[in-house]
Amino acid sequence: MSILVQTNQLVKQFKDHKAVDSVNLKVEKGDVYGFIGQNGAGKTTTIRLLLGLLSPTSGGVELFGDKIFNTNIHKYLPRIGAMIETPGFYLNLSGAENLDIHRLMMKVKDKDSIQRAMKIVHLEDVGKKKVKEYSMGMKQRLGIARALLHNPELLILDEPTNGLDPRGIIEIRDLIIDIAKKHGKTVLISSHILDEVERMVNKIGIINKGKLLAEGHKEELIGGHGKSLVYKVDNIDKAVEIIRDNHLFDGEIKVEENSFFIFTDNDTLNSKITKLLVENQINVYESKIISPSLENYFLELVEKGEV
Amino acid sequence: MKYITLELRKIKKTSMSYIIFLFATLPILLMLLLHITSDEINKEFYTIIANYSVIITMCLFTVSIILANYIITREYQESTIIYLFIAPVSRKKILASKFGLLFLILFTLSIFTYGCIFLLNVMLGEVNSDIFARYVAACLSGAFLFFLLMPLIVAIALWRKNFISSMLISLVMLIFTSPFMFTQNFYAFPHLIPMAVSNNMLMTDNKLDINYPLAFLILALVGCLFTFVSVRLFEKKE
Amino acid sequence: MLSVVKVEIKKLMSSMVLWMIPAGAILPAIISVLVLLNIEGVYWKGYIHTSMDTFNPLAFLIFACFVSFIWAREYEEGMMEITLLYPYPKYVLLYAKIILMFIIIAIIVILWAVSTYIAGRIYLGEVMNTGDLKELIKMLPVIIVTQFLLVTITFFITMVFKNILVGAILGVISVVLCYLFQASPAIQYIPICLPMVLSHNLYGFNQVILDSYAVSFGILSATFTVMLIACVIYLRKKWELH
Repeated sequence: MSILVQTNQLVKQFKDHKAVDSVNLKVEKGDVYGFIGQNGAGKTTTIRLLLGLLSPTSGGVELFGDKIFNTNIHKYLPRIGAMIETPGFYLNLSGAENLDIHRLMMKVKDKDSIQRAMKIVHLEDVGKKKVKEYSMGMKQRLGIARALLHNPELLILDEPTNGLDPRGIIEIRDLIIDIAKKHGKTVLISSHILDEVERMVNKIGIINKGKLLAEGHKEELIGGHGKSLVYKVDNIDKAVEIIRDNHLFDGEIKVEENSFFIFTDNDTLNSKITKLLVENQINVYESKIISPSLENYFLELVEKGEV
Repeated sequence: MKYITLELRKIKKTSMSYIIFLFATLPILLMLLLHITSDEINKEFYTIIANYSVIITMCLFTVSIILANYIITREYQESTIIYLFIAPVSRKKILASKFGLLFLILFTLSIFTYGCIFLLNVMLGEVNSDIFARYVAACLSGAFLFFLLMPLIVAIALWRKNFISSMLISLVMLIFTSPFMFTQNFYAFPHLIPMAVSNNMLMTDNKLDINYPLAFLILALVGCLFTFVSVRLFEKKE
Repeated sequence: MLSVVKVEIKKLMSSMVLWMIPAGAILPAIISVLVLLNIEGVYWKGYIHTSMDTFNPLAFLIFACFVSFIWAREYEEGMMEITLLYPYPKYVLLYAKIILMFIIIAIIVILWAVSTYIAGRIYLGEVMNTGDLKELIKMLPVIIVTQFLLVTITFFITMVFKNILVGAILGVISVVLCYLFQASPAIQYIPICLPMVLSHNLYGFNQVILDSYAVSFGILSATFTVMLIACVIYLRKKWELH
């Protein structure tokens, strides 16, 4: 599988802090890569480094298999469509006129590409309206349309669902999945909305405080991570003692104010523990199995990273 | 006073501080440069000031146009106007605080610029009570008359709500009509009155025959009219 | 490059400063007529002199405002990042804007000449004689070229400060300098005053001191070249937005 984006020990040092710290990420052709992290983790800085908008302090970027420098990046830009944070537009021009400027600059001869791009993001009816009259969500959609207009191989979207309503978020999610599957494009999305990212991506990179904490396929990373059994009982200390005395579970039991967690992949343990507690006159108000999720995995990883 | 202080805090650490400083010191440096490069016949410092006083007034007027446009349009462009409108302060008070800031800065700048030039005059040329009186008259009348003109600039800024657009309108209006400053027809252009009056205060020869009460009256009327327009524009709910 | 220039023209056509083209071209003619209205015995050459004296110092202000607008606008509207993602080397984006400025300067200068002629025709009530007309037409390329050679100064300063106000401030400073030094020999060495000095002398008025045309054109050419190199170097080294 060919590698479209690769970084080698990428570092970006600003005056007072290291925004990107030895990041080695790899995006293969056909991937829908979720680049996730908290606010200020270094996602947008990394994306700017990939696109040549910032020059690295050390390390390198490779796009489409070639090393990128300030002097050659413009040759690869026609193959990339990007949207970074809140997209900027010429406010006194209409949406269609803004896209037309982009079309001309990207040397796209097909004038119908504008209408097609606007149709994809459901803005075909407001093409003649000036961008200063657009809502935030409409501007976000227009930014995505602009990224798609010249039919790029690689799509880099920084927080694409910012400002969108729930329906809009679902539409963009379905669009991204469609673009990757049907049109074979490679997509790199950065976001801090883990739930949405989890549904779209096949590969994940988690960044925190400039460091890439983990990277890999979604199933491999999340796997059984974060699976736990949760119990709400009337007497937590007694319940934990009973579980230990009966050797049902010897691993970590995390106790919180009115519940306790048992971290295990063994689902069958749930019914055994519930039965045992009830037999020992412990009132069980709630018991559930929490499945592995990106959110749990992310929080666990970030907490470990901060320790 | 509290609101004026808040307005002052908003422009601290912005490019406005540097622009104000630049235009306050530019006339001083230019007068010094002229003095250095003049031939011996024309070297008397006060003569230079009198002949080129339009530079001082033009710099002061430019900085007041830029500042007035900035403090109004910035609120719209940075979307902070919404938060001003939902604060428990009447819109008239907010607008008044902006005028108060303009008044403060205009007078301070005038006193600083004319004061420094006067000090230079003391060091490099002859000064007497008549010359001192001219400086004071030019400084105070210029500052006061410029302030009367501020409602016009603010009204343009409130109309356009865009810094560059409103500033260019004001600048073009000033610069393109500036030749009339030296003719008797300047009354037709209220924005030229402060400069014409200040220049006349400093000049010793080729003075215009200015009807000062008429000039003050025209500007007072313009000031009142555009204050009313500014208040109406600012209070408009849209 | 042509497509980039076309895009720049498209962007300018819908911008808020477009009114400055007719204003900058027509107002000097109207103002000249108004200034001379009560004066008797005005002839064509004197009228053109007044119009030129009104236009020249203000022209730099207009062009500087345009330059800083077309560059700094990209920052103000958050478009610089997208602009840097277009598949062109950065200096191509600069050259396209410089070419656009040449077009704007040419249009304004030609419009000024036309409006000056029309206003003069109405005011003086007579046709301009062929000799004066030929001299005026010969002046136009001089004004266009000399004003164009100054655009790189504004481009460079706008690049450094990334602020639309730069042009206006530079323009006001140029008006002030032209006025201050008009009687001084120093004026022929101040680049931003040279268009006024050169057109003044080439049209046959010798009130503004000029010792050597070659030196003046040399200063202008050197200014253009040095500032252009500075712009390209700045774009290579300091283009980062953050």
